[in-house]
Amino acid sequence: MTMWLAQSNAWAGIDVTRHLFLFSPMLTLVCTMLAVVACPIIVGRSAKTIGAVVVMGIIASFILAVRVAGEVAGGGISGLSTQPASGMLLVDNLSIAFQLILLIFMGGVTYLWWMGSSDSEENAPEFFILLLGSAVGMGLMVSTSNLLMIALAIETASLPSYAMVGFDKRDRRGAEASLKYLIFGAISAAIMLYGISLLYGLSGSLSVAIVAQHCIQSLASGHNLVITLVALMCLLSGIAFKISAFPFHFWCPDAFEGAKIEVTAWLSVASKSAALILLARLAMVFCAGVSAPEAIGMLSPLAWGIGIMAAITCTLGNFAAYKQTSAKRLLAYSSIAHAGYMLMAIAVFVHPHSDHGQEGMSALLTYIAIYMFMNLGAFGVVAMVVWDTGSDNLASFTGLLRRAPLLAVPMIICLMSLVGLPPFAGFIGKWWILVALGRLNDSLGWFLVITAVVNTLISLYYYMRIVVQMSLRDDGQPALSFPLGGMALVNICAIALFAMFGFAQPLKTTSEQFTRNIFDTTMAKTVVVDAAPAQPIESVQR
Amino acid sequence: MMIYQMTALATTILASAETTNVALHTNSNLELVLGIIMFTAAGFGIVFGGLTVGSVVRPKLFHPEKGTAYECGEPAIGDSWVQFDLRFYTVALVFIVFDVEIALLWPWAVVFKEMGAPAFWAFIVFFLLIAIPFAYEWKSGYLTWVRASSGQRHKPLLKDKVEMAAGSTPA
Amino acid sequence: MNTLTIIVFLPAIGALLCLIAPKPLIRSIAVLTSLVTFLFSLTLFGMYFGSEAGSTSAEVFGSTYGALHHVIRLPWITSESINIEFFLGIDGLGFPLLILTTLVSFLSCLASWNMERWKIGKGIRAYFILFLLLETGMLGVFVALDFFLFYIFWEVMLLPMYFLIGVWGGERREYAAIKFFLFTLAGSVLMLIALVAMYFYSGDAITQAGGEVASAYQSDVTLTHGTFDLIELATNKTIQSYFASEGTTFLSLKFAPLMFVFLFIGFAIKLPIVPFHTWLPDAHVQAPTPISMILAGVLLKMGGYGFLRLCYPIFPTGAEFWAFTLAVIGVVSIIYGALCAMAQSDFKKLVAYSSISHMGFVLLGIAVMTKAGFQGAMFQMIAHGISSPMCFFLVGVIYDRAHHREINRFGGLWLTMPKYGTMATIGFFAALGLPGMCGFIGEIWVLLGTFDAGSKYPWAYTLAIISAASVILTAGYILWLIRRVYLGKEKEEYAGYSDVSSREVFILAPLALLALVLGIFPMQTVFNFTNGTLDLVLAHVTSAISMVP
Repeated sequence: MTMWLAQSNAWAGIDVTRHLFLFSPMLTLVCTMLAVVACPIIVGRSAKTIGAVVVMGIIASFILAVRVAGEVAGGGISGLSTQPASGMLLVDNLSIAFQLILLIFMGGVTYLWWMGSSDSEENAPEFFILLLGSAVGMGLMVSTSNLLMIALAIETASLPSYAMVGFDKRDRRGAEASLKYLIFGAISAAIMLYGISLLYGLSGSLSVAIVAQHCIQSLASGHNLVITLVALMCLLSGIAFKISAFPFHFWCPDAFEGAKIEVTAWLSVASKSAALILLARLAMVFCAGVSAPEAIGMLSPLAWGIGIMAAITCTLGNFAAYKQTSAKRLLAYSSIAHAGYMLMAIAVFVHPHSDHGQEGMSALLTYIAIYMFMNLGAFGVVAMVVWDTGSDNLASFTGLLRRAPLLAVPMIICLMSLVGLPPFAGFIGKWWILVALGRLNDSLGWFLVITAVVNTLISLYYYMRIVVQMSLRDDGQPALSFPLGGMALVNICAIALFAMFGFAQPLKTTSEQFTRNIFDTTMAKTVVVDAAPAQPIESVQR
Repeated sequence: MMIYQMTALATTILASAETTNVALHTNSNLELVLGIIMFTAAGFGIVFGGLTVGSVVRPKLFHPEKGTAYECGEPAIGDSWVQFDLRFYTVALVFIVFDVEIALLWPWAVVFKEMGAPAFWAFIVFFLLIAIPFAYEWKSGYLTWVRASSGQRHKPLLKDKVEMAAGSTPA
Repeated sequence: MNTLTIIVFLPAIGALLCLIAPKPLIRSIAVLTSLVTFLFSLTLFGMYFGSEAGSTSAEVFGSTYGALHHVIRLPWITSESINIEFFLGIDGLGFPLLILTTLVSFLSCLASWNMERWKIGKGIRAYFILFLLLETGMLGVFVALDFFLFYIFWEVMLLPMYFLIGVWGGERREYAAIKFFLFTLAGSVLMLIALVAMYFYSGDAITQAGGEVASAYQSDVTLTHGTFDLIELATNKTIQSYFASEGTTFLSLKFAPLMFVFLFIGFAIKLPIVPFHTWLPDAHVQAPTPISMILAGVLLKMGGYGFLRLCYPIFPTGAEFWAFTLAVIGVVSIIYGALCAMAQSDFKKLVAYSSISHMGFVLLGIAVMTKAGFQGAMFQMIAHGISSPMCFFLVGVIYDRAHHREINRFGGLWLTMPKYGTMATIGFFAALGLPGMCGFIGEIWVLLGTFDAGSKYPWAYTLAIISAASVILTAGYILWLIRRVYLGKEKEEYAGYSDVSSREVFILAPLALLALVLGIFPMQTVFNFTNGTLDLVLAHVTSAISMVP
């Protein structure tokens, strides 16, 4: 096989071995998926066995991802084509960074599921097939700069998610949630595809870099202005759906409440952050090439648009969380609010004042890394309460500080970190976004700074509702029984939040390293628009 | 589905317009927007126009037989609003999977000689992606038409549970 | 090792020990930690009496604002353009408040020794861990000189304080705790905006000046980006003139007055000042006695410290802009607090409202920007930091025995508990501002300062007269209180009550002694240590104001 691969290296000028290596983390996940499918045929449906297979796959994938990270550290690599810009897939610092975060988080979710399921659980293979499938989709979402691939990746990530939300067939709420999610998802996918097809029609290419050039030209010249804007809006709305940004957030609370807790945790972090990174990449490509003064003039409204969307998203998420009595639903609204904070970072690089530099990008990446630990910890505790009491109502948290201090304390830490209170890492995450916004030094930046910090205040109240239930109230419920491993998991998350605050500097340096050089990859400097005439490929013309 | 078709059509029209310099390059957005509106209007027009014209022109001779569903000349048994057995969908899905495989196999065979080893391995991977899930489906008993066979999963379905709880014997 | 670092983190280490120690040892560890911290903080007096420096603040801290002792600067978060340091240092502003904090913390830790809940054996570990973490936060605020670090310490206090009130407090503890939390966080939120804005605007100032500006007080340091250094922000001419410039706007409002307001509200909520004071009666009343002592004795001082460290030196023009408003708010606080105190029937609530009244003097003294005003404000903070913990502890002593706080149900306690009565008289007279006691000096200095300001602000005379007259209100509610609670016939209800125990005397005696000593020797106990720095701050502020056309 080696010989054949070596032979094939010359094929079409692509270094196949190298590219296989670069995509090996995601390929490993695909192989794990196959292994999980094969398990029922060979060794049976035991949840523990299959969990072990998945964990091994994740570890293997993680090791490979670390090696790939070392490989791409010097600069991005665009994959599977000699022409970087037309490549369907690319691997660069950003995508590998996200894949690393995704894999860590996936390990946590798998572990949570593994603890929560009895060995008689029969649906383990199906669950993990879906989980791995959506993970692959998310991994691909961040490793492409091709519109077709974006659509495919989003669908790959979404379809398993719909099924995961309604995974428990016997749960009516889950089925309803799944249906709602599916309908919203299908509509937004259709809208996004419409936008993509318009963009393709306008530019004759699916490569984001070329499409961006065309869009900028038309923004600058006013030529095809309306249709370009409509197309971009359609594309944006498809991604905004995955982020659950206003006004595409309606699915989020229902889907999160109806789904199993592990699935909720998974969707709240992985699916949103993948979409955010995708949007960040698009924003970067679209704005980095802008040089014509007229086009720069168009950027400001765009930045304001995203900024206002972010402001409304986080305000709305925070206010809607006020009255919730279900912990899952409350955390769902909180995740909408956090998506809003992260969107603010994206408004930064769209903004004409910004040098489209790394600052917003690394702030976003830092935030995602921190957010992962906060949510894993919080959902972990909620999961353990649900397993024992059977309900995620706030009432089942009453007196948790007495009933299970080793769960309540990490929960308080995670919640306060979600508020953004020092000395926990959530504050550092917000801080870098504030710094990136402040550096814009204009009214949008300061408007968002004020919105973000005022939202911190608003959010305090509802996070405190859980804290109050846990610590200040007690109605004499019996002590909670919980798996030791789960306790360890949430405590590790809590300690990580402390550590990420203290070691804010290395964290920032790392995320800066992981956002270095991404602009070159995505922009694919070799692209010359004139040399690539706006010519649709033949099959479409027919 | 409609949206997809329209999308494809719109794309084609826009693309050809661009290459032939008809509408886009010489004129402004207005014309393009007009074009889309006209296109949409024509789409709706053809559908609704056809129906309207038909309702006006066609002879209105009612007969009960005309009101029945067309079943290839056979008399219809009951109405069509029944719940289909889920097993049909499983079979249909398996069919589509292999259909797609054939669709890929054809162009693959054409270029196999040129590409050599990579093509072979690529197809092996693809084949595994199809074959293992198929084996899984088989093993899980989804292909067994009569569910009482050995491949059946032991957990009773919700429907059966409810019936058992109600005291009636499951069908 | 840096002394300040040790002082700040000793309680945190104690908290860690409490985490792992066996239950019976926890109280001892906590008390010992706070005692060691207190004793260690006393070594700071060495900077005044050491061989290399003089004995007054003026000699120790030189002739310009910015001289510090026990400085530690370590880079914490640095990137190309952000430079956040672990920067601690102490001067005449932080020093007296630091000593006050360690003292009050020690005494209130001791006061927590015999809380009723300990008899059930519940929560003792959590209580002392939170207590010690709170102390670390408080100490950090008084010595942190990097704005970011200051903000972190400021916020670190919130969560422990929330739980200390919320878990161990009185009947309405849940409400009081969340109210405290929300109010304080609202202030911090404004401070956070100012934190980000000041960083970038100082960066702009440096960019405008050519990208490189020599540091104002450190040799061999060149600023190329914005800074969080509180001393630099205050003393650097480039940054100062950019901040004060008319053309510098934030969201099209003038920068200096706006930032001044942001910071001011943040600190005013803590102080508290009348429109933002409503959290205080709730929190003070619901908190357990030792925590009320901390709240009144230390937490309120952070507001005043914030004014003197941040608002005034960094935004002198903002201070000038708002001088009249602030002075009026100060006077309103004095009168409103006194009137509210007079109307209370709850013993603890009365003491809480008296704090608002006393803190009004602090604001008034600072707002008029005169030497005597600044000095008086600082002295008033120290004095109140001694008298109010004492008053709260006195309330706690009787509450432990009677289990109620209705003033009108008490009477003749002096006869029942003679030692307690004596202590109470000292404590309340100190709060009243009787000449010879600590409260008097602070108030009279502030009033003198306000009269003094009459030469530049004509309205100052009126305010001085009003606030001088309001002293009668203070006398009114305190004397009335003493009559109702301590004088009169002995009530049978309270006949069997034991007098103060030796532990309680041990807590009250130092405070009583200090209340007297500070009142008799104000120069030797406070002014010598603070006036030098305060005068430098004032000189800096007035010169900055006079430079603006």
